[in-house]
Amino acid sequence: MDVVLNVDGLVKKYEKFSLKEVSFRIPKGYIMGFIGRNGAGKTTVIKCIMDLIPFEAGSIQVFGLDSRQHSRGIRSRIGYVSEEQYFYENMTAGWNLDFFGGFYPNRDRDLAASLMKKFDIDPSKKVSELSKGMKVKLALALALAHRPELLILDEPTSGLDPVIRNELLELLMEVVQDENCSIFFSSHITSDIEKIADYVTFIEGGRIVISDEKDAILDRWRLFRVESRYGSAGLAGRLTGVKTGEFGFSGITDDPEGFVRELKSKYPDARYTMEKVSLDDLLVRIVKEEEA
Amino acid sequence: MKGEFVRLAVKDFQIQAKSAKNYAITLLVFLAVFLLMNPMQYHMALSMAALITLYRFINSTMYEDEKNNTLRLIDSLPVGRETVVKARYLSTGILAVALLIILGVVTAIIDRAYGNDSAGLAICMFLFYVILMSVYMPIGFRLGYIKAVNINRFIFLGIFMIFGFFSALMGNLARQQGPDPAEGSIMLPADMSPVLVMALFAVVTFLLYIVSMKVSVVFYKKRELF
Repeated sequence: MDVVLNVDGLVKKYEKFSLKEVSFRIPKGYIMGFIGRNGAGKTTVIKCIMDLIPFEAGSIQVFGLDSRQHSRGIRSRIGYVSEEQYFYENMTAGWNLDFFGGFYPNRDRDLAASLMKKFDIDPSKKVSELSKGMKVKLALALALAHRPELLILDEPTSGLDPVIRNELLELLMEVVQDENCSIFFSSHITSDIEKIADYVTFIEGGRIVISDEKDAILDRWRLFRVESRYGSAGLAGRLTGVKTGEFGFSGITDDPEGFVRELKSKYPDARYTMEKVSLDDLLVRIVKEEEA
Repeated sequence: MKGEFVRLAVKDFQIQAKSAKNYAITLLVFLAVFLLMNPMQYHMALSMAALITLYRFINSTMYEDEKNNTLRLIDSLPVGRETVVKARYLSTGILAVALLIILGVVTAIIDRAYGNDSAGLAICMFLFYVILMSVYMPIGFRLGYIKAVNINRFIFLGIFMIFGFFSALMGNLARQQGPDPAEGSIMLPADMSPVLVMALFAVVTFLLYIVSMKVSVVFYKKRELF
């Protein structure tokens, strides 16, 4: 399987935060959702990939090339949308698209124009007159107009209303139909990732907690709710992100059979429920576990 | 590379074109006030007007980039930071040359009407201002617009204070000992052709501008934008 992005043992240190040997990879033609709460390190990882900030250790290969040695060549094949959209606000949307797009050697003016039309952006309107959603669309048009092989989106849907968010997600699904394009999509809105991602990587406290195919994650992980009288320390210890309540405790595990076996061996008449987890459950439980 | 370089330089003019009316009003007000105070100092007024235009252009281009955070977007495109700096020096350089030509022509026309010979002086003054800008621009690339403007105020204040002090000192010496000290200091230029002096000054200014650009490239590469 071709890999478009391979991050291996990435270490980036700040005074109060660091990335701890972050590793993951994106196969060609797939969408990877990059999930983590605010401040987990998503944007820092993306900035390292884009060679916008230096890092202390590890390696990043994009299209099989070292991200630091071939930074310019790599950027010309990437479409990048940052968390905040930066344009010359007093200039028109069309001017901005033309100016910034002109730096990409493969820029397709016709495609840019058709994207503007599709996104319903008036090219003669000043950027300062555009809504946040429209600015994101303009940024996306800029990122797509040179037919990138990898689209890197840093929380593009945050702050947008559900209708616009849905529109954007549908658009990304369309983009990935072209198997030449892979998408790396960071967000703390797990429902967005759940809708469109093929692969999911969870980051918490600068560390990768899970990185796998989305369906495999959702198939493997289960949420258990166990009555309180079976709440031995040993059992709760087998679960991640344990919450204890009046009637029992709950937690998630990626080894449900093992957990049930142990529970049954200790308490043959134990009463419990086992549910499928959502990415949201996973995020919340993983964050809880890291905080503990 | 060449295309990116020109694209960035042209962008500066395109964005500033939106403020052309403001530039014109500022200049007209400045010239009107200055010339009302002393009409015969028109060469001073014109060179100062050229300086104001250049200084405003440099500041406004920096301000636009920083206000809109577009340096971050440009940094994520396939463009080197060196190109960004060189393009800014190209646009500023083009404007400086255009202002220099306009200044020379306008002053020469007025000189002819009044029977004066002050065009060379006006050009040399403007070249001196360009040297000051060459000091200012690397500070802007290192620290960003807001810090650079504040630091620049002190630099200008310092330079004008030093000049004021130096002029007062020379005036005192001239009164006490006759005109010799002042004459001695201008002996060399007086022996040379004014055109040659101007040409030499222009070459020195150009070299300093290039050095300033190299320093700005080093500074901007080190600057943390993210």
